[in-house]
Amino acid sequence: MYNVLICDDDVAILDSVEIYLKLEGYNAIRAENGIQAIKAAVENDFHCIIMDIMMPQMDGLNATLKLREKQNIPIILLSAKSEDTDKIAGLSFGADDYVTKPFNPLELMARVKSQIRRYVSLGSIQKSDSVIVTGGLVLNMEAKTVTLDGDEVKLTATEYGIVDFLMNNMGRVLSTQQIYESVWNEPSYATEKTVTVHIRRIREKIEINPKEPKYLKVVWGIGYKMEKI
Amino acid sequence: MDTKWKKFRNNTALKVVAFILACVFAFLTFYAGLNVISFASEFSNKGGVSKLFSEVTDSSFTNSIRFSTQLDSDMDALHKMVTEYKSDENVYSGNAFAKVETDLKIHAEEDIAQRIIDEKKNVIESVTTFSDEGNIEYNFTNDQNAEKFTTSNNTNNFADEEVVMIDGVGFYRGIALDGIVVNEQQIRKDVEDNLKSEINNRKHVYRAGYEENKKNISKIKNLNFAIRNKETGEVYTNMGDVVKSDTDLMSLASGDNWSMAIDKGNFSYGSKVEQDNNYYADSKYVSMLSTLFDKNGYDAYFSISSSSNTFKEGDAYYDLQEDYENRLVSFEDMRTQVIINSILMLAMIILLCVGAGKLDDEGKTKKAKIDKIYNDLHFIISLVLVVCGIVGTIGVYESFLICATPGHEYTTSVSLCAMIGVATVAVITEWLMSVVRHVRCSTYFKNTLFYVIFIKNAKRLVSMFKKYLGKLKELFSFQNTKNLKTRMIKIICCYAGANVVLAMLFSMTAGGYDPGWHFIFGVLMIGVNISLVATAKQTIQALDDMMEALIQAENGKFDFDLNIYSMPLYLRGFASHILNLREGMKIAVDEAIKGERMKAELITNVSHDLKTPLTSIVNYVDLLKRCELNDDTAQSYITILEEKAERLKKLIEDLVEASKVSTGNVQMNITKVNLNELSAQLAGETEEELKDLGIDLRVSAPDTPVIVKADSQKAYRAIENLFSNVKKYTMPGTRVYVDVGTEGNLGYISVKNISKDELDVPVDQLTQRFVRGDSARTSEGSGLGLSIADNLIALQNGEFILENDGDLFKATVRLPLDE
Repeated sequence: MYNVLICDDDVAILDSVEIYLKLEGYNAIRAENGIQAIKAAVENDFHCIIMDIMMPQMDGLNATLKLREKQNIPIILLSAKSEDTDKIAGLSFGADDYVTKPFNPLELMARVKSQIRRYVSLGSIQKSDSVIVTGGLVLNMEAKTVTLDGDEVKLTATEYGIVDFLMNNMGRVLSTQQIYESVWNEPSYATEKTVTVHIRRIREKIEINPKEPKYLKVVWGIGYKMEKI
Repeated sequence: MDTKWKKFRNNTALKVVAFILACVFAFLTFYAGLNVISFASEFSNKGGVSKLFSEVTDSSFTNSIRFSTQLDSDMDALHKMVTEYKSDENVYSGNAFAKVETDLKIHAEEDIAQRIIDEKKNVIESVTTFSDEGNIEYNFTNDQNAEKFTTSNNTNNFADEEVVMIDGVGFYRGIALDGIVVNEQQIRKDVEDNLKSEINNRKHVYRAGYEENKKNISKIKNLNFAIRNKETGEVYTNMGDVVKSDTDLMSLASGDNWSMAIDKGNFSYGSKVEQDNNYYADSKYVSMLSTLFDKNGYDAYFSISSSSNTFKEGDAYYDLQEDYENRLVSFEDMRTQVIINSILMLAMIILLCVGAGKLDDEGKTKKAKIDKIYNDLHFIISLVLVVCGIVGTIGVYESFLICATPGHEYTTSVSLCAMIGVATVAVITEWLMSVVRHVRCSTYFKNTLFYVIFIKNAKRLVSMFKKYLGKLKELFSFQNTKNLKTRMIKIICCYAGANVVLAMLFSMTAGGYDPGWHFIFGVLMIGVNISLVATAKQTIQALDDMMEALIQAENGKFDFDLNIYSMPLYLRGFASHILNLREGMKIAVDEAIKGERMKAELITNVSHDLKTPLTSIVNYVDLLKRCELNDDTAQSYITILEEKAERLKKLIEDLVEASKVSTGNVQMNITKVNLNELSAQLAGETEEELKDLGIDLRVSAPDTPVIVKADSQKAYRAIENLFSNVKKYTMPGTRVYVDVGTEGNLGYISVKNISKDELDVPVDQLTQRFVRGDSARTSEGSGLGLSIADNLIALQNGEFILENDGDLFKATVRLPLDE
């Protein structure tokens, strides 16, 4: 039984998220502002924290900052602020994920699940040269497998090649041409669409919300990159 | 008593009488006073007004000027008789005249010599002129004439009209007079002809003079005289043989008599002469006796009988004595009259003053018409008249009365003098009465010109002064910028006027008469011009500064500053307006920035407040879906709720984005964007979805990548909106063409599709907010997509163009190429 702290100043949201968490089989504990959240975190042992940003008394960002001083619990920020800058700020304050309101409850549960699994089971993965990790995504080049939060992702050979190429160039933006030439191993000639279709499919497999990818990001008009988390 | 006074004050006739009486008394006072004074001046040794009170009874007629004059003429007649005429025989034989004739001849010779010199000077003047430098220029008509002249080298010595003697030779204008020949004979003849007739005339006059002299001497009756020739001992006397035999004339001139004598140069006189110790006294007689007789070789003796009883009628001395006696008798009388009349006069004046001003029914003093004259002016007029009166009196007195012979003329003069005095008194009385009337009305001070100008109209005067001061200030203070032209013209006129006046004064004082003023005016003129140049420089500098400041303001920099106090007064107002403008702009810019920030905050807050309840809606709809609802209708309702919640979410997101984009509240990260790549990525993302909708996507791009400058995320957002429109509005079974290419310095990506429905709205209105292709708004979509796209592309310096040709719809995004 995992303990999840849900912190929001809107009671209706608190209630609904609590219901979802209970449906998933988690033990949900509520807090209505940052101070309560920190207090609860001291009293209980949590496996994941869902935190709103705009709250009275102490906002989510400051609470995240405080919590991060002592604990390594996964924190998912839940906010109506949907700007890129807000997301960057939230993640750099120490959050592990960022979900914008209004959110899909199933997506949120998936993310919670992913965070808990990684926090609980994948905390001590043996790192070797043949393994590349970003967040919950693990590429095992020996076994030629890709796992997401411990579950294996079923990829075609081409898809695996693309993931392999992107993860080996983690953080770099790679154009479709580069990807094609590397994966197909032949000169690219008006083949960009082939690559982009493949990449969309990969995203559908490894991302919780393919439209807001966490790992495989589209840099429009330039290329794609694997985010280093 | 009071009523009597009142009656008197209101009785004009009485007052006129009093006034006439005052005048009469004044006249009598002056008449008597003048008589006293004129008598006293003759016979008293005291001066000034004190003559009025001097003691004259001890005096004698011998103390008068008229006596002295008479004595002078008689002594002169006697002197002529003894020294010149001597006797009838001497005169008529021509001996006496011979001396006169000789004198005339000597005069004639001198006259001739002078005339010759004058004639020679005339000749020289006819051939010489003075040059402008004052040197003599000789204008000889021919060389022959020139030889006649001897000229001196040093012409400067002769640059005047005098004859100059050099080595005994007379020079005139550098020419020796000796060398000039004139008709001397003619001159001599003229003078001698004149002399002859002159001598004849003089002979007759001489004899007539002798006869007159003899007659005058024979008239003397009361003056005893004896004149003795020192050499011959011959005595000329009217005292008979008694004196002739007496050799010591000095012994006669002693005792109580008025007598004096000169004998062998020694002077002696009787005690009466000594008493006459006024300025006619002894020293004058000494010099007379000495010059007239002693120096011509005569001893002389004169005496006048001291007793009036022994006076004989018929000569001047008798008349003098008689007159003196008569006036002496009336003298005391006159003095009394002066005192009484002056007291009466003063009494009348006081009466008039006390009674001045009629009373009205209420007992208030009424003013006369003359009182309307301002009192200080009245005083000055009266003072001038009084001064004129005094001066006139003294003038008339001095010109007629001193030594005037009593008679008609004398009386007239005294009357005239007295009349002037009366007029003066009348003026004073009138003034005094006016003063009294004003004092009684307590209006004396108020009726002065001084009061009227400086006190009654003080406010008006001050306001007038202030007004002109204000005008002057306005001319030189230029805080307001209005009418700069008028004021500049005034200043220029002032400057030009000052310059002209100073230049005139400068040139007028030139020539060394007034070097100090000349210098001062010169310095002032230079000062005025230097100050103009300085002001001009200051003005131009100030304008320069202000132009610089305005250029900065135009460029949006409002941190410039202007030093107002280094500017000329008339531009300070202008400069301060610029500074005010700067402050205003600063505030406006700050306000605008603040406003933008507030707008951004508002958008964020609104979006937060909309999204939070929406989150709950979405969550609970989802939870509701999980509930075991047996009713199919309920399930369908839930589906609708889910759809609409989703729609609402999209709308909110679009709305927020649209407001941000339209207010420019987005950060642009311009990088190089490959449109080929972008089109490929879009195709990859949407191809499958479109295929599901029965739409075929065709992408065509050139081989060389089209690289533009754009924000990749924002460019995608714009084009993604186009694709979402494509999904919504494209007729199934048609093809959608995506083209990438370049046009000039722009790269473009265009999307062409066939509309499912007919466009209800003109295509150029589609980019407006909340405008949708179907006016019924039945389809999903916010109506914001194209507006957002348009704004986003504009923010990236690109162009967003929508076209349609029937159902063929084409959207083009143009972005600047990366060079």
